[in-house]
Amino acid sequence: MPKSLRFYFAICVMLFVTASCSINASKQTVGETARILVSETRNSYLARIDTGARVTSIHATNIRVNDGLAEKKDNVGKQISFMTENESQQQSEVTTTIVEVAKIRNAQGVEYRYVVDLNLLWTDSNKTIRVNLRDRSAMTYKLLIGRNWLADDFIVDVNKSEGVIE
Amino acid sequence: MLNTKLSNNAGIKGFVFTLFSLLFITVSHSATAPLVCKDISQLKIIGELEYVSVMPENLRQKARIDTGAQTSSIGIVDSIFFERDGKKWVQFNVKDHIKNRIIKFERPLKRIVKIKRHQAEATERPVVELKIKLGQMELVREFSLADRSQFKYPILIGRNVLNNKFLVNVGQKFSSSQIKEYEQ
Repeated sequence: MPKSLRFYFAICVMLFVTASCSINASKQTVGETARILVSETRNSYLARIDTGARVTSIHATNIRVNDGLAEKKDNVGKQISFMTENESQQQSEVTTTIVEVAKIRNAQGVEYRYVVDLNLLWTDSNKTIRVNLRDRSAMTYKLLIGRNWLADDFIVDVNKSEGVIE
Repeated sequence: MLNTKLSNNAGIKGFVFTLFSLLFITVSHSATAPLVCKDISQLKIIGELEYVSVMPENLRQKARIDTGAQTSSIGIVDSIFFERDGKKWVQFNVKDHIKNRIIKFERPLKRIVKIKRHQAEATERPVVELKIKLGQMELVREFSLADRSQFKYPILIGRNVLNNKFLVNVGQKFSSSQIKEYEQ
């Protein structure tokens, strides 16, 4: 009896392995870059997929807050307008609501950025996520995809790419 | 063979059940295998944070897995260049955050890399080759020597390590070390 019990236990383990395999199967792989449509801008962006970044970030200039106060934190909930453009200089203006102000820590110190909700479309994925606004003029990729977009849905395979900007 | 100690009737029941189970496993495996198991055998899935050991000094540190970085880097306390057999070498000290000690490294200088920084002047970093262990895999890859004192994790694993070896699943952490401990 213990022998056969052990055998069925082994079967259960194998079934568990199979099940965990299929959990990963439900995750799509995305490359080191991906062409993502940002609904609010009506433009697609060649985005850098960055597991080192917690939150997604988009290029924004000429940021104006309706009835804006000097302290960024006091503007949460207000309307914000900004200009953005993709890597092919296709511009658009977006007006939406500030959902929070994020404290970003990098090698140069601390900075505060406005955060908005944007709708990102890629293959059959349709997600509305938090995106912080930053002047990315000096940077190659105008959309940086962080872990808040990847979470639960995607596995990153850096051997794949949907385009590289030289 | 399994059911020798059981009565005939129970033996047959057990046999049928075993057959059925095996059939189920085969069917379910063939359904999922083409989707992932192929990937798993070639590329190992790791999380957003993993333990990485630098060999042969065996310095084990937490590392941030960063698909946004081309070259991997390691945080150093200080570094100096010196000459050995007519070649440029670099000696550098790394803080072991886990065992709270300083470990001295000496490696030939591979090259100097220029780092573009936002809102700051460009900086230069020495690059050396390091043999690292991530999970069960040992690799020799280029690492730039950086001041990472502002960062939480002393090692940054970039695309030069991930390429053709690993897939990154940001939902998980320190998975490679768990597998290792389980196997030991």
